Amino acid sequence: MDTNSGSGRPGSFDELIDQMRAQLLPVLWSKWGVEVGGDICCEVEEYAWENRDRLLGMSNVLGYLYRVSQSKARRYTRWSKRTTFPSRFPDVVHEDPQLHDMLQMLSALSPDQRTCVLLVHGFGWTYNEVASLLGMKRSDVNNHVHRGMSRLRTDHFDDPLLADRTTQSQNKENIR
Amino acid sequence: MNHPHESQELDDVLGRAGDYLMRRTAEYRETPVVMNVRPISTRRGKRLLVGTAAAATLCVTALAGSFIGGTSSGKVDVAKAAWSAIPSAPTDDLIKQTKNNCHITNETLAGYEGATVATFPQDMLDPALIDVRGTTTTAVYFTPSHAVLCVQFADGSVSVNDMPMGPNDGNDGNGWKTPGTITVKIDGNDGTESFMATMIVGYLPDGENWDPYIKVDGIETVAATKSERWGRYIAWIPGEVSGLVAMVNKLTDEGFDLPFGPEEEAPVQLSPETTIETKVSDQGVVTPLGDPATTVSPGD
Repeated sequence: MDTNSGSGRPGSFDELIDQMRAQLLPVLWSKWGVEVGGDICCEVEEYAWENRDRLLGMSNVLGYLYRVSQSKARRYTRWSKRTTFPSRFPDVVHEDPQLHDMLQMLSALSPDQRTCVLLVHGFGWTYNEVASLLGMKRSDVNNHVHRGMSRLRTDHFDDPLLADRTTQSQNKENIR
Repeated sequence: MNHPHESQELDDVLGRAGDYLMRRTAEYRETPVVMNVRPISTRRGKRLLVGTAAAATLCVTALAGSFIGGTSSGKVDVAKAAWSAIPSAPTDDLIKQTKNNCHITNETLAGYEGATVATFPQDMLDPALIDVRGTTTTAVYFTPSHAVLCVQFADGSVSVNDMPMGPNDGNDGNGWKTPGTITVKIDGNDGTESFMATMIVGYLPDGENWDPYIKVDGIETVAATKSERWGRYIAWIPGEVSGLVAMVNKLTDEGFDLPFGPEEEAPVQLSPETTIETKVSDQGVVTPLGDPATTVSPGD
């Protein structure tokens, strides 16, 4: 696991919390949305405090805590109790329609595809870092990113605004 | 085959999506979020700087929250959109500006009571609720039979709407009425496209410490602005939506849901308010039967 490479293995609980908020939290909000992801992170922080002595000795503590977060997530997602990654974003629909469309397209991806795409293409993480934190093979991350990006590209160019642009250029071609 | 500029455009929007999620997480957790964002191209380098500046702004704003937002909660106040799921506290200046722009008078309120002349207590001429979401401020006034909603936009322009809303006499068997909704058309900021919005006004249950939340499929939970003194709350959501108002008691952890929808309308009630009892004379003069315990504190 190379996820800790930027900051090293945490030497204290404060460092661990900093690393969780910098690296685990983005994974959780990418996968479960801002609300559920934020709530799960709070629960994992509580778990980390209760088990701090054991955790600080681990080599891949964030990877372990990610597994803990997956267990915690079941309570939120069972029976579709809460909206995880929203499909509507009213606060940006008029301010930034392109961003709104992208968020909607991301919501249509599978949670793992969305997480891998956001971490690699949104935040610039390496495939190895993502694989290490999510406990996946690098090839699995590659597949998730590839499939997710393919779907985003397809949806991207099905966008009616872009289609209009295409139609306009086609019309110009026809006129010529 | 995808052209390089198409991939770059996609990466650019994905970067903005990441920034948006980071900002919303900071607002939801009410703490700054600082995370690892690495440059993967020239474009990423630029975004890294933006992200760093945003994180720094968040830190400063969190520290200065009590000055910027007029609140002591230290809430991160970075919302610049026309709408936000979590309302912010109104500043004194905003309250004054909203009151001046809405210009609700005795005559205005009398119109909703079907009278030409009426004298309302000062409490009713001040906003009972002030809901601030992004750059949009909604001030709510109550008459014995109506809720008057004055929506003020970023440029200071206002739009006044009303909905029937009588006292909370618990006539639906639950001890409180179902929330009332109206759908209004809101002009966007700076001449941008107008959009529909659903305004939700309802009653708090008896007792204290109830927090109302609006749940609509597909969007994050919306916190309503409440006034325990008036026993009412307000929230609005872009679009014509239906969903649930979830009441949560933060002390006892009790909770229940009330459905709402754009088709539902609160019944018209012409009897006096429950919180401020009034009587209407033959000449149309409305006078309070008892002084309220405290003064109006909008947005409490």
